Amino acid sequence: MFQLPEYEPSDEVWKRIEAGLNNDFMQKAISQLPEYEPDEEIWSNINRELNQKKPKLIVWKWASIAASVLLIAGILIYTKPWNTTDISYSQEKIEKQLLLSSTDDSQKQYEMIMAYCKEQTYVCQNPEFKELKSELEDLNDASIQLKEAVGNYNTEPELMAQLSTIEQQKADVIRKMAMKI
Amino acid sequence: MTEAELIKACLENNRFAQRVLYDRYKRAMYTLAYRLTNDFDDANDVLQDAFLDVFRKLESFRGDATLGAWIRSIVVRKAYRKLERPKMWQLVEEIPEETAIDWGDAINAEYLEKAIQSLPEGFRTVFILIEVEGYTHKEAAEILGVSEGTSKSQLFYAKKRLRELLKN
Repeated sequence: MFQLPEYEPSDEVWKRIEAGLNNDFMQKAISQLPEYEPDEEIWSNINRELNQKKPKLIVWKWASIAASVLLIAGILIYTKPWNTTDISYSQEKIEKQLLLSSTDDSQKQYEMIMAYCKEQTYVCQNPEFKELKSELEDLNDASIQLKEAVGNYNTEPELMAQLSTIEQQKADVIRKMAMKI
Repeated sequence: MTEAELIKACLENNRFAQRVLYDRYKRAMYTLAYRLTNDFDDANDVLQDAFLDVFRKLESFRGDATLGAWIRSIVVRKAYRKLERPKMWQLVEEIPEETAIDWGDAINAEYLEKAIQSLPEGFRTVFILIEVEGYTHKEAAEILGVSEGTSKSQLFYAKKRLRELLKN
């Protein structure tokens, strides 16, 4: 019976296999290299830097806006492109406290703190932080109940005034908590 | 919290979200910064500057790579700036044809850490980027502003030096 030929691999193949096996030792050791933890102070520095405003840029920004407005006003006064007809109008004031905000920032912040404490236990175990968190939870419950009472079409200014006070208190507590992270 | 939710909240300048993001990556990035600079004080500076950049430039993150890879590239660039670049590249000969290094038996991670720390800057940087962090020669060469050939030769001689150090 006719036998099919066999072929010999080149020495290069074994060399490459050997190199690969050798490298496994290195990769295993690399995966066991130690990790290091940065000091808590680094976050404090980052937090401080992020809180700092850039006054110079803001001054320039407002100065350029003011200059643009003056320039446009100057051109308009000089060219007088309008007719001298008098137009009268009136404005209706919206009672802001009677409107529910569509984007409730304090609610978002509250959810973020809850998520933060799920992942980060170090700060959340601090007794003062825990106390603030519990205060925030109570305020949040009160806010939810009030919003349910108010409903979609609010007609009672007293309820809205109460809600506004609670939201203000929530914002204060959140600010205090943010200072502790 | 998913990564997308975290990014969205960080973009709204939510400090809690920023802290969560920092905590997720701080160990890996600090370790990388320390390995590249070989100095804990420099690693602190690198970590702080890198995360400030992360939060200030997060808008420019397009999601082409993972968030971790994006932060890592910022850390590598910041750490690289700390090194004495003009002096860092070791003059090496051409790479021989036979480049496989025989590491012998199992390597002790503690000895390896010390051996990596004692490598010259150029050898150490390329070894960390390619063997530890998994960058390709092309990517490493781009970050370091050298040719791929330089990256390959520095890696080969880094491994050769490590082999000698681990033997002793």
